Amino acid sequence: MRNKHLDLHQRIVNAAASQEVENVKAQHTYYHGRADAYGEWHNIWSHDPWCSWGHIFGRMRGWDQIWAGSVTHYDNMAMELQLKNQKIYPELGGLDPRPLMEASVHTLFTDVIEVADDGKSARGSFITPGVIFCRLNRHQYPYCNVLWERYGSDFVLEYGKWKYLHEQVCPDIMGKLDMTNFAHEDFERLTAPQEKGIGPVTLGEDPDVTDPGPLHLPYSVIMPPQNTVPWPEPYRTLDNDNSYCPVKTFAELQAEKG
Amino acid sequence: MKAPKYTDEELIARVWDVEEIKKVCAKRVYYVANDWRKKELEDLWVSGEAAKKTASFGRNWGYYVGMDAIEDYYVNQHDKKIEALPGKSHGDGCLFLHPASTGLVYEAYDGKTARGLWYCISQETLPVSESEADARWYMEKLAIDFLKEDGKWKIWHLVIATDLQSEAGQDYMKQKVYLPDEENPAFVEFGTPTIPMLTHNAMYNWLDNYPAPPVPYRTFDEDNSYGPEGHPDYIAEEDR
Repeated sequence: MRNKHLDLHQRIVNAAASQEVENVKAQHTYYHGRADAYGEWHNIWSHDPWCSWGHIFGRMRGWDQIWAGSVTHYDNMAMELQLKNQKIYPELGGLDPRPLMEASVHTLFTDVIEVADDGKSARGSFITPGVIFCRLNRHQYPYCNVLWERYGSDFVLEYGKWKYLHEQVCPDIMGKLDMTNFAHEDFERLTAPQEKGIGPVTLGEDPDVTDPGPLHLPYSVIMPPQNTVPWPEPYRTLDNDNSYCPVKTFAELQAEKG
Repeated sequence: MKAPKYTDEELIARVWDVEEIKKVCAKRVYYVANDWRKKELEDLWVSGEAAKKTASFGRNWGYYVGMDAIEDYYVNQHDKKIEALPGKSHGDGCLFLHPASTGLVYEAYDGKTARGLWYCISQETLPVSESEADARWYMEKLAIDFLKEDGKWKIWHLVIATDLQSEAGQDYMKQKVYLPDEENPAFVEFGTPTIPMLTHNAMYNWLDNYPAPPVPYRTFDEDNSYGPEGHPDYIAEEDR
């Protein structure tokens, strides 16, 4: 057992840290379920200039870019939808537009969490078989989508509290509750996208990123599973070999290639 | 709120407590799945006289308060409904799977209580004839206050806040936007609680933030609990 070299005190501290990291990750789910981007990024993220958040479309780096993409851009989407939806449902007037946009509930299963030997960081991989639902919306019918993703997340200890530092989100499958054969839909996306009206997998308008995507490929009938965020192994300290965010940016890597 | 400094012994005891609490929640999932409701109340819920009086079971439409009221709703009324279903023996064709995920658990700094929130992508199936069953998805939050009794963690207040229900294999998008309560099996099942009140309005997604995620806390406070007093719209009986 690798952590045998740690003294009992450090092993106890790391066991408690593992539970704290589980809680931080769960807090993300409950903040995001209310589309409370401000609460999430303000309260449970490190404001470190090295922080990053990645999705299929690319990776935002640094606090300012993340805030612009994940808070400002996200809130704008909610407000734009609210303007449309309250014309149909006047009862929505005066209510907070963010949770009314939809409830994106990324449930968490299958945690693999490792706390660094030095106790200053932690890393976790998770699978989220989640649901996204809304009743009062511009379509005028309730919807519930099923979205399965993997997460690779790095956390740091700041002033006694565990905070997110990096996250890579990897959507694999999405469809309507009980109504989508996602494999067949992918086949049709590949063979007859125009006839079937099936576009590429997107999340609407993409925010500005430092590292352009795709950083992960969702399920496809012509591709093996993508192990984009492998589970963390026991590690000594957070570094380039033990992180879900490479130290070098896309531009720096391109420059190295010449 | 600043967390106290714990010795190693105190800290590992708290880590252990949280794991025990998670197990109580997980065991309840199996009790529900096996339809062991009476046994669940006996084994997993509070048994002290004072706590039994204030125990509560909430859903979107209110709370049953006190173990007697909870047992009548959760065991007696339920068993009558199951007995009335088609099938040769009790429980034929039934399945109640509510696996709990996304656990967020905090033990009070005083170590006497704990609070947890989970999310359940669940299903319930009930026979409607000898050859057919009504199978449904339920998306719901599960919130629990735990009380430590004689060194064991027990369920004290429990809330299930249902976000949606949909018949398996059917297109949820065809459900009425304004679904009358009478067409919602969860509402019908809940009957008439001790305190009828709208606790979670699923029309507006998670706007009401109920039950709210727990946060670190010093000691139990009923105004900050998953019992009826902890609901922001609760009005005490004397003020009603």
